[in-house]
Amino acid sequence: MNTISTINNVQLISEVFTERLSQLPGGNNVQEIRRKAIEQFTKLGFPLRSNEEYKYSDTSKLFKEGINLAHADDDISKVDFNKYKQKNIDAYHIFLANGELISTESDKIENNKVEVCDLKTAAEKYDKIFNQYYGSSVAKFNDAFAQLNIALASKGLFVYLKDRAKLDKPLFIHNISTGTDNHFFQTHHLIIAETLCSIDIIEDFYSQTNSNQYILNSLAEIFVKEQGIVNYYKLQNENENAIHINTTHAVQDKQSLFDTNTVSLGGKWGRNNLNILMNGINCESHLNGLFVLKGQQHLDNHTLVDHQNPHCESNQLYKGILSDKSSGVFNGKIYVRKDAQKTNAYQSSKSMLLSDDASMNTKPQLEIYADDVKCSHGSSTGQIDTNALFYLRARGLSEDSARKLLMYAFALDVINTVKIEPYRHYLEELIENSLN
Amino acid sequence: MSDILEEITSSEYKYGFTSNIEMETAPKGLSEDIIRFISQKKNEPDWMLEFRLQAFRKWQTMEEPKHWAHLNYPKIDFQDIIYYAAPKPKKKLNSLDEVDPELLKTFEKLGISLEEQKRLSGVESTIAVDAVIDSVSVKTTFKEVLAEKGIIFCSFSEAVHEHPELVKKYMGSVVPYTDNYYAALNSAVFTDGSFCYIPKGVRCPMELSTYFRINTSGTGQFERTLIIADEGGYASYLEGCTAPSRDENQLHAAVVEIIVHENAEIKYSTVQNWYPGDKDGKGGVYNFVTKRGICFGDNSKLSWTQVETGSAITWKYPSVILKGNNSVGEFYSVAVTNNYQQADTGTKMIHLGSNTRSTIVSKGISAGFSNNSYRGLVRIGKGAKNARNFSQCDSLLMGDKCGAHTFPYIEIKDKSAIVEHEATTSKIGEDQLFYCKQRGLDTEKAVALIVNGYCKEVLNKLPMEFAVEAQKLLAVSLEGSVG
Repeated sequence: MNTISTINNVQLISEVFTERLSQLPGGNNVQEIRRKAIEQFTKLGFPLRSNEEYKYSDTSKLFKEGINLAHADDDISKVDFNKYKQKNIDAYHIFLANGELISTESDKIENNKVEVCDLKTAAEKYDKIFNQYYGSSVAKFNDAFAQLNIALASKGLFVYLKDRAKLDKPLFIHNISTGTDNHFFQTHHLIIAETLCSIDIIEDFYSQTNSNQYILNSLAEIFVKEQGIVNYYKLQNENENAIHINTTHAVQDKQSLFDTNTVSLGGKWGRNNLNILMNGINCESHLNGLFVLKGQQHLDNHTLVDHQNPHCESNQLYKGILSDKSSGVFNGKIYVRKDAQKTNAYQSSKSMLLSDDASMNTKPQLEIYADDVKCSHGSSTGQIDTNALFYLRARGLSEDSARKLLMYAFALDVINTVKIEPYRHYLEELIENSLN
Repeated sequence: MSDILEEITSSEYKYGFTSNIEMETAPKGLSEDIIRFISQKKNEPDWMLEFRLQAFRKWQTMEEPKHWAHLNYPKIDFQDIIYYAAPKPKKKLNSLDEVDPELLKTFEKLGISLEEQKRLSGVESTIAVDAVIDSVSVKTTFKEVLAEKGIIFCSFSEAVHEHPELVKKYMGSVVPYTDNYYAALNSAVFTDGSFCYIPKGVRCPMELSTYFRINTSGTGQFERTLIIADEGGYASYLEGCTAPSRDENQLHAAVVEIIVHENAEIKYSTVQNWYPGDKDGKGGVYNFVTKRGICFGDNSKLSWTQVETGSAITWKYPSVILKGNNSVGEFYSVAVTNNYQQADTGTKMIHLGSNTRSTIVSKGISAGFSNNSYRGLVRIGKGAKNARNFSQCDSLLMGDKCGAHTFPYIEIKDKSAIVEHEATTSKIGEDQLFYCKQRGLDTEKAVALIVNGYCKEVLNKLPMEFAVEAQKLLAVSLEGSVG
């Protein structure tokens, strides 16, 4: 019943929603939020190019062959989770298959101030907190995929830190997708760091095989309370058939720090929405991103930093390397509200085109309503600097290795912002391989 | 500081007078009949009427663009506008003696004395002026001097009659009537404007200028300018505009088309000073303009310079299509908004040829309750080898009730392109102010100095005559409005 024809995708999704609603985790007000979200989604429909936010990323093609909303969880048992574990990274490794927490494979966290469980458990055990936070940060985000996620998501991770908890090791979340034939599914993480708590989170996305084809619509809501610190690193390295849609929405209270790094290497079609809302004074956040695209890959990175309060600082650095017939998008918006005086906001996006068939669309935006601010953005697109190339060649490097070295150096600027050393080395290795 | 702000925001619009010139107007509203009326009044050939009607039919199928620009205004009632108004009696003017004295007075008030121009007619390097009041071009000066060189500079209506082959060939070639809502509207109802043709290898000896003025209440102004520089030609063209102060919003929807052939160059400068509305945001001109030029031949160059201080709403993107190899496009802009003004302006640089270069320098200044947006597109087409673009967009905020925004679009489809974009937003630095004040300048003078320095890059690109006017305009609209 759930493989749906294109024309009625939206309508049939809402039918499936009505059918499933009573089983979805969350109390009455979460159900209300879900209902509102599906209403919003039905109104918006899947975004077309006429939607300014999807000007360079047409989604209509993605759903041409229909979608499959049924759970294809039988093959989870076949997954060799060990394969995805980076053994030299000392962390709490947590495994999720299609969003479902695999407790048997995941590390246990022996800390009573830190809770890591799936959404269903959270909705029962921490019902008050779950009901308070679920969907609250993205309710006003006018994006069809985010709204659809809020409405339908039943799986994902709940991470809750209280009483000044500081997790001793990074939390490494491995997302493995097994879906095939347009399996369209939603995962939703809810991460809350209470006052003075701090945590490092690494999240990676892999496909089970080299070719299984699915559409993942993932969402992470992250709440960083007063003086909290959250470092959130994301790596997307799925197979070349995967469609990856992600929304990360962070809400920062005063004097908090949010540091994020998004590395995108895989997938056929990708979209990353990264929204940061500065809900208190003296917040600081860093947004770094790197993408290396080849073949027919398409990736759209959207960032929004909403400076709602004074004395906050944000920093963005996005870099991309595009070859073959790939296409990339960077759309970054800095929004400074009327009261957000003394804001410092910077943004820089740089990309390198290596082929005549590759294309890059950039739209860095500033929307500023406060006068005592320092905001700037810079963007450049070009190719490998011939002077630098000559310099290296004059020192005996072959053209090929000189090029690789320069590209590697270009990418390294972003990788260097990662604070967890073993993970940084792991990324360095991945980048080096993908440039070969 | 607040009293200085008050002083500035209450400063009067000095071109806000009306002239009691007897006018002949069309009835309000828009229909095929009105278009036939306009066409008949202007005694136009059939092909022109056909063009208008086609545009009108297209316009009826189009939707008023609202969703994308950072602007906010009530719906425009297109049936509540007079589409034709001309000074009466309308007969062919051969000498200045025949011009309505009231009209001459108007131009004196505006600071362009046609008589003065006449007297100086023997002298080279002054300005040839085409003055357009409401719907009709009233006088073009220096025509004879220019004709000697083979330069055609006349009103659009005259060109339709005297040079139909040029008008037919080029009109709509850069901005087709299908282009956008206001271009379609303009194509249907445009009443006059300037036409300029620079023949092969001719360097225009003087600045060409058009002065636009909306006078009659309830009228819209729809002028159309067409400039063609044939191979190796050069011209510098200036455009100025004012309107009386009125409580209602007046609509101005112009189209400017420029065609630059091989090795030719056009420099187009605008000082836009339409009535911006009063200090509560009442009245003012809606300025919805489509300006576009094409660098058609190799080694051609087109340069736009604009100083935008007027209009309640500005919606304007002077663009360059860089088709010829080695062609160059430039855009220099200063946009100032005060009170409740809204501006959404910028440029489009479309690179199609090889080794094409473009430069964008945009300076936005917002004060009062205004919103000032830069919106620009840089597109490097596939096969546009070694294209180069540099863009710089700076915004200056004065006061905490205004907004400054930057929306650049950068689309690159060729690996050999090098495209750079920079934007900053800030207020006037305390340290800069302190430095000036400490050397004995009062706040107002210090701000004027800093703002002028901030805009210098753009003002330097203006022809002498305009640079002075522009600097004064900036001083009037902004002196000391920093808190």
